[in-house]
Amino acid sequence: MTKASDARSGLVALAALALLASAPGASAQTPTTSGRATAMQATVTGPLGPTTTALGSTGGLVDDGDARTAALLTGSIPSVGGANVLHAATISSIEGWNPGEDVTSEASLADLVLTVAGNAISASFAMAQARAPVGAAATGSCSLQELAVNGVPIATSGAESQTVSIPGLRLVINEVQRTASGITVNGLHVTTLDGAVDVVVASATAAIGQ
Amino acid sequence: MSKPACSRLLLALAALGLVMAGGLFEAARAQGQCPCDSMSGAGKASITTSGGKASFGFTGGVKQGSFWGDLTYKDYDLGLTVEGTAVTGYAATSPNTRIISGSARTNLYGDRTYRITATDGRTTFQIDLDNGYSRQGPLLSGKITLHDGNRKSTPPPGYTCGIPPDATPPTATIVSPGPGSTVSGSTMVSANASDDVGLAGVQFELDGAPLGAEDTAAPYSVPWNTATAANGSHTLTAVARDTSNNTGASSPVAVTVSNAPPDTTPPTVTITSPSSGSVVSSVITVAASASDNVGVTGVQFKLDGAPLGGEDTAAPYSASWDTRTASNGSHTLTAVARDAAGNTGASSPVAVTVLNVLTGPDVFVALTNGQVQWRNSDGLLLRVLVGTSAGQASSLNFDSARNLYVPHWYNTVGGLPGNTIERFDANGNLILGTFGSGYNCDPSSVTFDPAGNAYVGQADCTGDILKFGPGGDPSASFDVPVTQRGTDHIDLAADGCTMFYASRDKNIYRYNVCTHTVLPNFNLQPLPGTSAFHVRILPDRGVLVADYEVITRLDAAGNVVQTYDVPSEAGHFWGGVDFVGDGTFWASNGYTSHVFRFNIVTGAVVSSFIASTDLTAAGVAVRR
Repeated sequence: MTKASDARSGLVALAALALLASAPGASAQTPTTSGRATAMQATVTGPLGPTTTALGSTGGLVDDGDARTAALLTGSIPSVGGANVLHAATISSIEGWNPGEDVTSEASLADLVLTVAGNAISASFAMAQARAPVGAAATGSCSLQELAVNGVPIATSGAESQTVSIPGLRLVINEVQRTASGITVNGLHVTTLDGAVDVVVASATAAIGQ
Repeated sequence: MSKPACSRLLLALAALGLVMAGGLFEAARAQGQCPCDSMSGAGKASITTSGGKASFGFTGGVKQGSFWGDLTYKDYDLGLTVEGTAVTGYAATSPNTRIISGSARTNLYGDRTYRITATDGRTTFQIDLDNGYSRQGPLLSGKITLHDGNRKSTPPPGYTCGIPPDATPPTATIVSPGPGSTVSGSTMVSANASDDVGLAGVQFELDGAPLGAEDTAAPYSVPWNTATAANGSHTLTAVARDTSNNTGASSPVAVTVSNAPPDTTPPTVTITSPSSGSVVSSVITVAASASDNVGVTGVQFKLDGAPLGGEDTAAPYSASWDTRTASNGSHTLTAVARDAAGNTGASSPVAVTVLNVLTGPDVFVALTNGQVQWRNSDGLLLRVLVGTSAGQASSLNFDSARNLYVPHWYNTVGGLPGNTIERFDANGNLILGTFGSGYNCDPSSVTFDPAGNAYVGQADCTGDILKFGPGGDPSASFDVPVTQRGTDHIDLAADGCTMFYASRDKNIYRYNVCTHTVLPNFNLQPLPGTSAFHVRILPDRGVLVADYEVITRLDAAGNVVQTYDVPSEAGHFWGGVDFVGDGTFWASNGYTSHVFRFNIVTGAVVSSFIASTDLTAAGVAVRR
């Protein structure tokens, strides 16, 4: 199923992703909300150039009154892999820009199976969450269960941006990218060293800014 | 999360599980209230007791006048997949619990309606399908989050934003003590409690009255001193309170309090040994028997009111008493028994007489009438030695053959000679006659060198020290510096040359009789007494001085290291002194004629006797 009430879900090919979306007509002085969640996304560079494919993506929040969700029972990206029970949501809870109101995003999937540069990568469950509250610093979290590479279990430390390097490949677990206005948490980020394949699993972004 | 929960009707319906999603929201629509927020969650849950798992992701809420959300679900045990196709309802059963209903497509059961039940922050997930499929269980991973609404979180037509308050009371169960228990002393009362939203605390009650303060954190318990309640049946209850102030009481638990009445009966104790009136000596065992209506905790023996050793906490109760640490004479023993409640009982006092006979050499006392008392080491008078001179016997000494030399001052009694030295043999017989000659004034003390030569100190006139051969032939005279009373008392050091002497002032003088040389004073500081009388060199080369007000001990370097006195003694006229050799020494008080034996280290008086009630004890000597 590729459906959601107003999410651009399902198999969507995007030439480029705009990470943040601003409310139409917002002035420079008006606070803006940004949110996006994607269960899985892969960019594969072929002879014709890079192609990006996202599964279970909410797209960006339109404004501070927006909420978006996406769900897929199963999904796959050719030559990369797939997963089941893909889920993504990004929700603004802003009403009066009061402290504690926030933007939250979450992305998850189960039964992840990837093959990247000849390496088998699997996880039983992955989830990333991002929260940007009014008047406080953004926070994030990540859960990655039963991660294995070529059948070898990889222990997750819980630390931000835990990196695992294997020949020709780099894995970043709980990858955290902070900006002045928010945070992006990627549950798992897999890249080949030649840059030909870039896979992000469970990505959640939340931000509040001017 | 600030939005209130949905209606009580919905809560009831959901709790009963009788109505599936469509019916629920029909009821909700009839109620006309709906939470204007949203909930999302994802995770992997354990949904069967056999370990079956499911993955899920869902969202639900209201948005711009519509129900909104989605669902994806997979039951690995059955191979069931559920894909939400539309959200048709959103309701609350508590401030934090939401029910999301919708339509779905399944791979096993065709198109169904579903219901998700989830609670913010809770780690359980529940899904129901309208064909009877129902699974719930704890999350193995993932999270469920309730989100506040935003300005576009408007309800569908016919609904208003609003959630009925939490009306579900918490539940509580007392887990300890158990029903019908008999309790005593201090015990803990504990309970389990739960609530669908959150617990604020548990208030325990005893017979309907608060028992302690509300416990606001699990595990819920309160200490109970059952002694504060009367013996008999009582009822315990735990009242749980949730964060909405709903309360729920546990089933009452009846218990029986059974505490023994407070023990106010003191123990009794009787000293069984020694018996009253006993004469005791050396080391004895003081024993007592004690009893109490509950139990004796310990017995403390006392000597003259002061503890005698430590408390004996086990029968048979006894204490060891070294009577030599007490003075000879009457003493009182008591025993105090104590029970666990702190009650105490004292025995009748037992009066005993301490009579310790100290071993050691005999002691001789010089009297002002010229006589000499011969006493054993305990001070018991053995004989009175009477010579031919009535001149004051100022001091005494013994030669290597244990013969006694008694120097006499000028006679003050008519008819009898003075200014002489008489000799008694070792048996106290005056068969050796007088010794030496040429005393010009008051021979006062005698000492000997290793060769048997005798030296005589004189208290008056020239005050010279005279030297005699062993047979009494004069051989030398030493004109030594003197001050108040010549060379009243002398003692020769073991080197046979250094003569120590006193002249009744605050110094101990020294003179080398081998080189005829005046030596520096022995004392490095003035003596504490005003008038040094008798001087005795100790085995450690220190010196004892009968220093009038006190007896003074100096170390071998001439430092004053200790003084001795008997505070109760009148006069404080310490004039005679001699050491025993066992760590004690004798000293005589010329004012009272009392003679005391001191412990040279502790200063304690270990023995004493009264030499005379009408004569003055001028000096003492020990025949070691």
